[in-house]
Amino acid sequence: MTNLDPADFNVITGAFKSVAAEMGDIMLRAAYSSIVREAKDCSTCVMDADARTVAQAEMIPIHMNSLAASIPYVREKYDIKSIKPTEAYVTNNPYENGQHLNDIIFILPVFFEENLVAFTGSVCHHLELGGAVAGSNADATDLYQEGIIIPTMKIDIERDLGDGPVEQFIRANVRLPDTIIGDFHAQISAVLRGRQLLQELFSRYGVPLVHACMKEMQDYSERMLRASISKLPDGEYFGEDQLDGQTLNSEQPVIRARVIINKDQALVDMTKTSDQVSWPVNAPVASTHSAVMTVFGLLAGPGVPTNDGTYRPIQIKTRKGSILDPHHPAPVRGRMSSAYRTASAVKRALANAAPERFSAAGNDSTNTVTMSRKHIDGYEMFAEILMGGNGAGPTNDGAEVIAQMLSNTGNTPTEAIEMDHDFIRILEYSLIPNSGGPGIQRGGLGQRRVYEVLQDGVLISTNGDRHNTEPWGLKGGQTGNLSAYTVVRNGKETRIPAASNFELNKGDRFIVEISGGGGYGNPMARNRDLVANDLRCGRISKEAAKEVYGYDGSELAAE
Amino acid sequence: MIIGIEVGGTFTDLVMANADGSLTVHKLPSTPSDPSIAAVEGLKALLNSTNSKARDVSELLHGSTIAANALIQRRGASTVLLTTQGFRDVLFIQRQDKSTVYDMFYNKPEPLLTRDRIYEVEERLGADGDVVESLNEEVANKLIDRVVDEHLPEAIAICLLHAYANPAHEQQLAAIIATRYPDIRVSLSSQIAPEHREYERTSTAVIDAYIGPAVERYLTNFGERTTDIGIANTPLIMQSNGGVVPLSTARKRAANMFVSGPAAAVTAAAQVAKREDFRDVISIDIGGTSCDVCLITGGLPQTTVKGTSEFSVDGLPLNVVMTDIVTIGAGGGSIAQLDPGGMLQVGPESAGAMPGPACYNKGGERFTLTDAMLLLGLLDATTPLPGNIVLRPDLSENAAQELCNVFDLRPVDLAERVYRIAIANMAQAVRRVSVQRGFDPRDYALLPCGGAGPLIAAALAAEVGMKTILVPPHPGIFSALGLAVADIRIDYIRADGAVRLDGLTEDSFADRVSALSDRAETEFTELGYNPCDLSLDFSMDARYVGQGYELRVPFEPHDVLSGPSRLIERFHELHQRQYGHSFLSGKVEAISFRLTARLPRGSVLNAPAANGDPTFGAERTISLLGDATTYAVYNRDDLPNGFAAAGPAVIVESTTSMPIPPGWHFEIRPGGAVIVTRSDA
Repeated sequence: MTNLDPADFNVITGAFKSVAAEMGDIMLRAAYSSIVREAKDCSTCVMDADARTVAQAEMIPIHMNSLAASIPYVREKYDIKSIKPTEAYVTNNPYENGQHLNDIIFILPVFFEENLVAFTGSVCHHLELGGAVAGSNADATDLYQEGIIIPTMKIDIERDLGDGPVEQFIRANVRLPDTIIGDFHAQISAVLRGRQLLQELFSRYGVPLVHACMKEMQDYSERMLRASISKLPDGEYFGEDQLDGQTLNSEQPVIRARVIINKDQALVDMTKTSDQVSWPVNAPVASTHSAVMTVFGLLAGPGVPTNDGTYRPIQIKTRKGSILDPHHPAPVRGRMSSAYRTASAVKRALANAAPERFSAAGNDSTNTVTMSRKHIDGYEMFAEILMGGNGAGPTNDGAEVIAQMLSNTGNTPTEAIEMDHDFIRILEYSLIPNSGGPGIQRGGLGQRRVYEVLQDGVLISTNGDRHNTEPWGLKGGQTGNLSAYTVVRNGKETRIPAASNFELNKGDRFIVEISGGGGYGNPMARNRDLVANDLRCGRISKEAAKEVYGYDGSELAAE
Repeated sequence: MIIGIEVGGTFTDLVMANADGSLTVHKLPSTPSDPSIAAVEGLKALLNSTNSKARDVSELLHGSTIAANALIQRRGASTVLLTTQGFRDVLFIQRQDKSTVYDMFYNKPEPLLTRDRIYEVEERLGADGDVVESLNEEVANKLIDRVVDEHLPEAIAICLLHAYANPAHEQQLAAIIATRYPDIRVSLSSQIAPEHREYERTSTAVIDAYIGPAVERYLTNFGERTTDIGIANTPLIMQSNGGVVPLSTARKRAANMFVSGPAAAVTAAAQVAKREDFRDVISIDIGGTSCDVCLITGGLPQTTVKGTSEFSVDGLPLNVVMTDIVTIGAGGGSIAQLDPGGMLQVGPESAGAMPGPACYNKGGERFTLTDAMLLLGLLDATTPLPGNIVLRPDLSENAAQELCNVFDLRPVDLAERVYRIAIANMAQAVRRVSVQRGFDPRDYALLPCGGAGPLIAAALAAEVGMKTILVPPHPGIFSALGLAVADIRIDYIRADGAVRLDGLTEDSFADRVSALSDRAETEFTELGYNPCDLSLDFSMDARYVGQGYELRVPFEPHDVLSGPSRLIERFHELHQRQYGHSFLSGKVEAISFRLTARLPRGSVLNAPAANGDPTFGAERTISLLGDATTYAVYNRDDLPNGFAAAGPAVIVESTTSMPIPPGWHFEIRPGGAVIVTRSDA
């Protein structure tokens, strides 16, 4: 501990957290697109004068590191100390430590009494940012087909936004200009509000005290993270998981993690992972880092503020040319799949070290469905992210149909979808029986969603994973089921790969099934009342109860 | 005379308001198995002790936690849910998101029903209410027979997709049940929460069904018991919206009974503010373990906003009009301790009433906010608290020792830090109801109540930048008092699909307005009130086309004449204020039209004027805002109307005390309130 006054430390760090949260709140509520407001696919943060993260809104973990990661590249290009009050940095370039092109990163300096004292940042996933097709382009073979690239650049917010060249240029290159610019403005409102709130803090407490609290808050997170790593036994641990291939039967890339725990620090080596691929599931290195750190964030548990201190105890190695650190300009739009496999492989390795502190694998993938129609005067588009079940933990069944570990994606209510888009009807939204991996603790069930298309010419693009490799169980727990996408036309069902582009006509149906999570412990030892309850409520079938859980109801009958 | 009875988890409080403004208070332990027993026993005792007759009771008002208890303890009725084919699992899938992100072992809020109690009905409506697949009555009959046979339900909830736009199928099912099984209580989503978003609406209908029978039974018992002792008038029952309704109406509106005591306190706050000519106040009710904060703007307490945690009970969404009260775990019993990262925290863990703060000498050994306030001199060690609790500063100092060693501080210095942190936590709650909802708290007066409210008011106001504090009379019994002054209030909504404002014709707008006011006038007339006395407040929930959250835009019926352009303009302004930008070229759509109908009742909040003389000379040393200063001590009962003085001063009441730091001054108002103002304001 430093000699900071304990009340100053509590009160001012509390203020940092609430500034970040308030920025995030503005972004969610002012945003136009459903992907921002329901999927919370965005993040906001407060940074110190060196642009190191101090506090971040708790939105989604894949953005845990996105704002921070962009900074080294900004430094390479600019002297950040020379930025002017009306200037800001903006980028979406995956090869300059960005995520994928949809994520625009915006970083604004905060000046107080003419000195640069802090930064505020926001990152937001934009529904559509140009490219070859509306939505995620499953067929992209390079970055240029995935959308417009905004290189890391310094802009002047008064000169370049609004009627200025940057905003106009973006507006002209996207299919849904009002939505995209609406979300972009929500992003800018957030950083401006953050700037104002920080200036009030500097004015009230003085620059030296606020800076001391920023530093101490980072050290505080570092201490908490180191404490949680020290609870793992020292040693070298391995874990791996597989991505789906490009088609249902093609070769599957492998993600391999080697984790060395040495007292209160960890080395995570991902270099033995497969080479980069020609389709869009490559993960830019910033996404790989976010994925690895999320697992340590989960290990530390709720209550540890995410900031620069959180990153310090963990060293991450990747191999250039691998799927987790690809060469420019490999396509990266579907980077969530490999980011999820990364987190899953690292979690598997750590679970080998201390299984009682981890849960089995969940569905662990981002399953995106984008539907769009070309009207005579523009595009109408709807996107949603569907989640599967969580893995079971040592003392809990996995949650069913729940945002997975890298995200916190809400669903869009069926009534809202049908109110906003007259070309879609949802026929079914349900849990899939038997989809959770059996165990003493059962994996959470996955979901089934059935869309009917009510008009001709609806373009669908999808993303996803786990169509080939089930979520793993832990300590004798069994795997969850597989995900599957099926198109139904004239009564004929056709399975399609997780990442596909296709067109549907009136009356066609699209069935999305998302896997459940893995189980924990031997299912034969599951509490009989719980098995009976699962059977009564239709979460498992009679056959599964008997064959997997060894339960035929006779115990109950005897009572 | 008017009597208010507030049933809490531990105690039942009664307040008798006499015609001259004087109050008589009675308190007794609650009877959880049937809370109406203690309520009526207390009523008899209160009448006896004042030599009053039951027939002299002109109005009896009642608030109860019965609904919340039944839900939180999961002791509701045997309930089933009927829903649209394909949507059986809406209650389990919920919104797919997590309330804590970094939790590997996350569990969702547990639904009230197990999956085997949910049945799908073959039917389907479209988003504008059109029938895609009609309801087959024969199939429905069979289904309902099967459901009743299997579960013998006391209550059935019905929530069909898009029923907000067209209630026909829900009503058809209700009619079948009413014919075949008239004893089963039926809750229709289209009646209780007719707004789109199926999870929230289903959850609301199920909550209503689940707690409905218990609420009805309770109210029936309560009504019969009060009749038995000779009370002639039908009791009025507190609702979550801060108003009251006659008992017969309350029985049908079970889902509206969740927030009773806290809503009543806010209602009292709004009444006090109104009488003192404050339109905008933030009330903060601070008790032993938590504090409740509510924003009152233009005289009206705000109601809950979709997507916030206040929009739910026990984690389950409840889409009825509820007073928007943010509750945090900060109160007199909040414990000071180090978190695992070494940060000093105050609360949310609380020493509660048992063992209580260390200074109470009831076995509590941990340093609490109350201990801090005692060491700072905010509480007086020489005067016992109600209940004859003698405060022991030496025990507070003992409890402080461990933390003092960590930080190398004296107990009084630690106390100052603990007080500051508690104030900062409460300030966060104030920001949540104001800044985060688009209001600037500096434009508001602070209205503190509850035992500890006045003790922290000045420091909290200073922290948030508020310039005025309005201390109400009787801050310690505010909930029971709120009952006595609540308006009769019912909220109405019409939300049968999105309407683009630029295409809203004068006729269609007028039709919506009159449909709402007709409903209100009809219902109030049926209840025996004169509809001419109604006060009507209209608003609409609007958004830019494409957005997913709405803003509430108030309007007047005469806005019909000026067409939708005024409304559109007002929406742009609101959006600008709330988010810092607006889209003047964006299209605006209304999702729902709302009406709050209120029948004002007379206020009885006057405290009798004191006729004593302020005694001068008493002093106490108080450390507040970093400085130890000598404060003049005034006894509240000795201060006549109009009395004014400058801080440093402390006003002592039987239930609490109010420090006025240097730089602030105060004035005693004729109604008994104390107005404290920053001297430079």
